[in-house]
Amino acid sequence: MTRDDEFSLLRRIAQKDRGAFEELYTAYYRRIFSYLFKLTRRAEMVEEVLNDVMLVIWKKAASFDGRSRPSTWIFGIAYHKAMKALAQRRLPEQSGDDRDREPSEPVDHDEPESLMVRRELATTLGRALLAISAEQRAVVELTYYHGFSYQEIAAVVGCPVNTVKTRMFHARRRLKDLLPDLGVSSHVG
Amino acid sequence: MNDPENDVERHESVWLLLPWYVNDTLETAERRLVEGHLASCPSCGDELARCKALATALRNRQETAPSPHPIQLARLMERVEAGERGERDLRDLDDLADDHGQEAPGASVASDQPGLGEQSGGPTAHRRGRAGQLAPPGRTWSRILGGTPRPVVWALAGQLAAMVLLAAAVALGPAHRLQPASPTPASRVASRNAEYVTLSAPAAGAEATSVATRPQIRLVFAESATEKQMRHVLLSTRGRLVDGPSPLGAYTLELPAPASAAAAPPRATLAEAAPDSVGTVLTYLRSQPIVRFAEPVAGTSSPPPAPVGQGAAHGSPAPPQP
Repeated sequence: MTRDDEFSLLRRIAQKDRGAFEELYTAYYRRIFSYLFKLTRRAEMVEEVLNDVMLVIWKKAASFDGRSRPSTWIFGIAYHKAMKALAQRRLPEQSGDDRDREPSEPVDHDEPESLMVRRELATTLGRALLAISAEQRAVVELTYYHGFSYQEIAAVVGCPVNTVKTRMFHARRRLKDLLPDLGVSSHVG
Repeated sequence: MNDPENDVERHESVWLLLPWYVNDTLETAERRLVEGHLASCPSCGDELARCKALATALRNRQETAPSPHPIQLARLMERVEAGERGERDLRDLDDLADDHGQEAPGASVASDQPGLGEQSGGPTAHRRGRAGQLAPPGRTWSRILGGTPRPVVWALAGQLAAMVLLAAAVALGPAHRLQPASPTPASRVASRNAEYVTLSAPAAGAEATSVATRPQIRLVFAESATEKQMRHVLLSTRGRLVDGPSPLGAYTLELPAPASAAAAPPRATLAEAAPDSVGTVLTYLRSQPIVRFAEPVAGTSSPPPAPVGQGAAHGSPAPPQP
């Protein structure tokens, strides 16, 4: 779907066009699902949050000003809903700052582990991504997987561009420790 | 240009920009800055290789996102329509309950109430405010119940379920707890089914025959599933629990009677796919991480002759189980 298509879908949704809404749902479902899952690591939470995101799009499509890409706006909504859902799950003693340290959300060993989570944990990369905070993980995913510029990520997350760069900086440093072989060439420098 | 401070600054700036050089979203000026610096900085060259490798690894991950499910879309559209009718979204109530650590009673669904989130004064004020809404005007209730789709009504009923079950327990006496049929004398089975019918169906006679044609699914949840998770999954099916929990945690879910015969033509679009068909519901249930087991109850997904499936409770008295 082209960006123009997406703009016109949002315009139609602003006029309460149900068909356009369902089209957007189908077009964005897997992307948003993927994104929410990577942030929250909770497969059963993802569906609820995804529907919450779609409902916000339905209610607020009229307020989309068209100055950013539709995807930026949509991912911004998804990011905030995911963070809110995570915050509701967080144990009181945990804090969600950006410091380069252990994961800020608990890995709940009593949660039923979905097939998706188990597949992720089966890989070194998956485990490494779990070791950085949700805020850092969001920037990494938005950059490499979803292909956003750092300015767009700042718009998605609602933070200054320097914060985006800093979070990415800390994430890279941690991932370098956890994935020492990634990108290391074999030739002698 | 031998300005060490500028060099250090430039190096740091470029270092920070590398990921967006890799994903090719830098604007011209910054891209040129990075390329110029890379020509003379092996350290940044190594880091660039690492960023590229990370990008590749992330993109090569097995894509695990499922395709959207017609049930989920149907449920979403119900929330959309409920919102358009001015009803408060129940997920907002759930969030509110989490925020304040209290149950949000069904009465506060009325849309002509002031925004609950705007009240100040702490838990006491909330409790007072909600207590005052426990006996809302009849107009509000009929608007809610009349225009509300079943799952929303079911959710409202669920909020008051403890009260209903307690009243039923008092009214019907002991040993009425819903359980799958275990060996009992015929008379007790008959009376138990009569009690069961009283709890679950408005008119025992009228409902008796039609209940048997509704498809039923036996399901078991993961031990750690929360009530909230179970409730959301069950609401999506638009069915209702008619039996259980058994000692092993099995529930029987009864689905609405299928609108048309089982041999419906394949649907073209997601929205048209029959969300209520047994097969669709089973697929949905089995995709849920909290569902450990989901199977159709034999003899319920097609019109009877078989009067009673194993463990299934119907309106008519059942023969004693072996």
